[in-house]
Amino acid sequence: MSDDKTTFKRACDHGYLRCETCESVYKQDDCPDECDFCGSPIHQRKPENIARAWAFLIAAAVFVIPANIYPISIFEALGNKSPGTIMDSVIYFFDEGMYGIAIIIGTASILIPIAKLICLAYLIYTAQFGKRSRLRHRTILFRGVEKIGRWSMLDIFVVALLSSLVQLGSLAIIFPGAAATSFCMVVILTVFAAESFDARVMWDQGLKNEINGGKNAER
Amino acid sequence: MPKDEDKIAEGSFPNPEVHEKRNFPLVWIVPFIAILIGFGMLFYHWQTQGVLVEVSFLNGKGIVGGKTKIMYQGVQVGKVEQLKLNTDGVTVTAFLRIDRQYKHFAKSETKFWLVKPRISASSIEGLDTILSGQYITFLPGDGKPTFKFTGLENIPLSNENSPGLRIILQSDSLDGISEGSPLYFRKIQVGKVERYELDEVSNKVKIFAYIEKEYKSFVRQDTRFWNISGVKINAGLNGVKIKTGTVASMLDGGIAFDYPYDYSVSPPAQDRHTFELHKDENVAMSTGVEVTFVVRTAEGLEVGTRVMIRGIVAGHVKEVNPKEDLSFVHLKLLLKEKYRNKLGKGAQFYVARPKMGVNGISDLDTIIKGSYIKFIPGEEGQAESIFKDISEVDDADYASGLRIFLKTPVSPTVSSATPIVYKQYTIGQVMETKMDPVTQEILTEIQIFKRFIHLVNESTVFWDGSGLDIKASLSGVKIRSKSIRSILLGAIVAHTPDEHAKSVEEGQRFTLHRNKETALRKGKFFKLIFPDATHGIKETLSSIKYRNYEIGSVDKWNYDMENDEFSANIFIREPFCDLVSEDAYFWLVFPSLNVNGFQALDTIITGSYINLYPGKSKEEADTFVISYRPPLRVENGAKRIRLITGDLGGLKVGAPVSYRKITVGKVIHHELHQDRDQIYIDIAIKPQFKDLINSSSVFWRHQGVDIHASLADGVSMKISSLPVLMSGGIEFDTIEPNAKKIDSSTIFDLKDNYRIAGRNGKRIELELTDAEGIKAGSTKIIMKGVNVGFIEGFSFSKDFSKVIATAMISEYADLLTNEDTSFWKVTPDNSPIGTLFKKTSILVSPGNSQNEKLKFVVNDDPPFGDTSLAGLHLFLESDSLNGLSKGVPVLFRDLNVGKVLNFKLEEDRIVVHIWISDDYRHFVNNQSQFWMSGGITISGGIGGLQVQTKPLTSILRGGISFSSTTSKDAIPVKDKHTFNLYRSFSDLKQQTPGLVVRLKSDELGSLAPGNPVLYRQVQVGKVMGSGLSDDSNYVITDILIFQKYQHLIREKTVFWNASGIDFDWGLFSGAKLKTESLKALLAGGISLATPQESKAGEVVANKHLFELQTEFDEDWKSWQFTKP
Repeated sequence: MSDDKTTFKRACDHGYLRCETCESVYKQDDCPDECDFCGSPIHQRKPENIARAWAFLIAAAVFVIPANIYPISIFEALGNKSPGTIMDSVIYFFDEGMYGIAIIIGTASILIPIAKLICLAYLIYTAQFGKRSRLRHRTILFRGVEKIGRWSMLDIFVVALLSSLVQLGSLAIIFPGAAATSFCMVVILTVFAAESFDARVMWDQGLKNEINGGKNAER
Repeated sequence: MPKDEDKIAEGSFPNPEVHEKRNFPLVWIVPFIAILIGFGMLFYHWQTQGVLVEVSFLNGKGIVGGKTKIMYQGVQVGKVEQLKLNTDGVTVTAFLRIDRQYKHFAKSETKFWLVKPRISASSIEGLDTILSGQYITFLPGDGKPTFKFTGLENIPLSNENSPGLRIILQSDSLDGISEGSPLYFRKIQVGKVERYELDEVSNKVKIFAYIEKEYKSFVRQDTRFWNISGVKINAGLNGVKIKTGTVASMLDGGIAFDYPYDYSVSPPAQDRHTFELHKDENVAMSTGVEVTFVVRTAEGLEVGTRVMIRGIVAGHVKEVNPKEDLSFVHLKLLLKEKYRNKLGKGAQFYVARPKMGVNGISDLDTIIKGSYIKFIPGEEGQAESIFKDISEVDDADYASGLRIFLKTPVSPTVSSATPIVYKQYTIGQVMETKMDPVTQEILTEIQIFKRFIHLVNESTVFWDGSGLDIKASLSGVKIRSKSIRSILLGAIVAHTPDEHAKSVEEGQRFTLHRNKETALRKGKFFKLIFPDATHGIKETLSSIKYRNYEIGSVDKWNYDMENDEFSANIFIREPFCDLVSEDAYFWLVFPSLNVNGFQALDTIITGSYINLYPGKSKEEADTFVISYRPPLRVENGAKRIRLITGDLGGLKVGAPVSYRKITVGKVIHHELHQDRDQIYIDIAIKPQFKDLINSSSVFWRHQGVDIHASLADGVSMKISSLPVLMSGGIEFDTIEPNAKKIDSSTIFDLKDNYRIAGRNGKRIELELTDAEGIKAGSTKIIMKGVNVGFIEGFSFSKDFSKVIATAMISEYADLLTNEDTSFWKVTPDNSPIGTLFKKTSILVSPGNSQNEKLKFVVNDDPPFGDTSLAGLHLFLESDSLNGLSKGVPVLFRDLNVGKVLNFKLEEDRIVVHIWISDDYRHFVNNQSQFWMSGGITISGGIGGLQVQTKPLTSILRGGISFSSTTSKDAIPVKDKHTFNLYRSFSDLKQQTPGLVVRLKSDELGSLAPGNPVLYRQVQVGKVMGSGLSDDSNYVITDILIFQKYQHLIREKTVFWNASGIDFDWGLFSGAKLKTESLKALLAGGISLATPQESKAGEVVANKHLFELQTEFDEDWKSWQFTKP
């Protein structure tokens, strides 16, 4: 591992830049501002990625609160409204003995979004301050966060589905509650945060520190 | 490496574009907005969450935290968040989240309660809560804003501010009123009872009611309220009146109100005005004038007792209070306002008790309704009413008039106050009925009202016009009634035929006739002397009849002390009194049991009457002696014959004279001969029978019991019919029909019995296996129900194996003593003649032979085909008895029309002898078809199972049914006609006549009766049965070809056995499997084919013999037979 690290060189170290979108590679010297193929702006690193990630992350964190305290869906049967928060449904399914569903919902709708937030915060934080410990693990974590992000919409998907299916007039009707929007926002904003965060930055910093450390060690 | 880095740091790009790094990246606007939105949502939430209000309830039943809504006027204004048991452990506190926008409702006076479904008769409230769940609602009130309330258990009183009217009703008892009971004004619900309480001070029930705003103005200070709860049944003579309020008020109680008079006068009621709640409308609505009396007794009076004025409720008794010393009773009446000015001079009150009055039975209704006070209004002016006892009341209307007396028959239906009607109009009344001390006559004093006096004059007749006129006879009871009133009260009808007759004086006497007929009659009186009993003849009631037509009546009884005899004055109406001449004959008709049975049975009901047989004489007479027996009239043309005998021997006048048991006349007279040795008996023979008598006639006594004993013959005893037994009788016979005629002087000798009379009987010997049930002297020999002889005695055959009975054939002896005559014994249980004979009898059936025979064998069974039973006798042929037994019914359309009498086995069939009652014999004609209908027919097929049953009796016993067509060629059949008896109806349907052909075969194969006979696979007939030929060499199968297909059978027709499968195996042709129809395959069958017309041969006759082919020839199939 240490061998890899010591021989570690970044693209930019070789004078290459890469388009974020279409993965075209340009020489640093004759690099256009925008990709010749896809027209995306080409940066060596995403600009302001730490700040953007923080901004989206905080916004997402703000929405976590209403997403969990407001009802995500409102079930109205015979004029009798029964709103339910995400936690309500988890508890409901748990009470009913459907532990599997309870766990799935609990994980997908509560645990994962929050875990995502925390993980992102950790990643951004460590990247920002150039922590070089467990760089590899953090990268794996970041990939995981990116991957898992889309599954967080499960709850919204269920609510949307039910809302469109259960439209039985005055008999029974389900419509999304305020939390649905908030939850959407949480998920979207975390995706944004993850997107805007440039994982390479943590390597930049980490490498810097490591080189420095290495130098120091060599010295 | 450091080089590279330096390069970057140094900005090795040739033309670096330097972007100013913003110190505040634009992206930070995102979390800012997010925070804004988040706070916005929180704020919104906070705003919509509303205020928390605590309401404590006695119990939390029906309240669910998080579910139960707070509704106000149908709008959800909040929700119960939580329900908590209070520390006292009894009450609960509900935390209500009321929407912020409605928080202004949470004021100290606001009342919360839980709305539950409440179903009462008057309303269904909170029905919506059944579906939506119970909810909490409230009544907004004023006061300081607060968040702690105490919930109510029930709907609170209407809001103090609600615009309606609140009133308080006071009542002695609640009487079915409940919370929510409606208040009605003219049947419109205008409000409801909100609550009630017992007033501690007055001990009265206080009912708080609320009147809706729009009806507020109808409640005035003079409004009367009364309870309409429940059902009020008002039973009176004019019917039962059931008075209820609405159904709701019936069940739920209710209060109605109205005004005793024009309400506009009365000022409107104030809020919380207290009213009296009255018991009922009458009490409530009477108002105004109080009248106080002091009476001796308040018998029948109580608070609430009505005061009536001409049948209208005028008020009621308000108070009944005894005086301190109990000597008198204070009576306080409350009269309606409008009668205030009727209390002046002349006003009277009295307690109404049932009374028969001119105006009907007045006050009879008090029996049912209870007594009431009658009020006769007086003049206007100061009240000076008098309370009277009823007896003291003199009805001013009817005070004066003409008083006259009516002599009344013994059974007057009149009583005091019976009206006197003239053309159905009351013109007077009966005052009293009393007895004239001098004449001992009953006199009815009547009074004709002043203004009707002119209607009565000397020509006036009075009769009892009581309502009921019952005419009863055996043919029915005819009741004619007038009005119920007249039934109860009776009436005296006055009729004045001559308007110009002299007017009557006071006290004049008239006769009260029994009825209109007697009153208006014209005729004559006669005197009838009753030497014996009077047999229920009643004065004025018993009638005189002529040919059963009422021509008069018995008027009066007289008793002559000297002669100790009764005589009756009878009255005969005008045209009929001419019938009464000197030799008229009166006789009394009364119910009696005499020789001819019961006579004048109808008089049991109608009473005895007197019959008149008019005389021929021209002489008049007025006194007659009544007879107790109808006149022995000699009919015109009847022959009178005189018999002479030694003693009368029980013969009575009227005893029948019979010829061969037929009554042809009667004894009309008997008298002692001059020399007192002989008695002459005169008999009258009805005209149509007079030729039966000629000089060869012999007469003998037909005594009730005729015992003839002799050593040789044993004892013979003959008991006759009841009339003869009671009054004796005379029989005669004429030995020589052509003998000399008699003249009037011929006197016949009356012999003691027919033996002496020389009747030509024949004594025969009957051989019996045993003599059980047969008694010497009484066992009859009967031919077709006619007694033709009797058993005289018994002896034994030499070997004692048989009983030899000597029998006397007294009638038709010649006919019954020939070789063919058959005798058989009939014991009651198998007697075909049914219950006619309860005793064992010997029946005889005459023969045709000319040879005389005097010894016969008595069979136990009647000879087969005996037709002694009247009716139609038929023979049915069947192949099996199939459960039939003697006595089973013969049914026509399931009606029992006859029965099976007997059956016998003949070579190959059973012949059933059936008998059809005479009443139904016309249903049988030569087209009739008989089948056994017994039991249950189960026919199974591919289409299902069909079970057919007949009536139970025929299921149990079997039966024979028949049907008849009424086609033109149907002709009635004679006795002993033979029919075919089909085994079942379905057999019959198939076996509609057809052609029977016989098939000869070597062996039976699988054929069985019922197998089909097929022609081109169509069933054209069926196998009826099979048997061996006479020489036993062949099997003969009878098949029936249905009529419809009969033409198919010709001489050359071939028959082959179509049973089973035809399996044809050839080396070259391969295997060929051929079967006939499935049915044939299963059950076996016969197929047939006929060659074409030219080769077909002759038409065959019934029972033509064919060969049953065993080999099938393919050629046959190609045969084309065409119907000629």
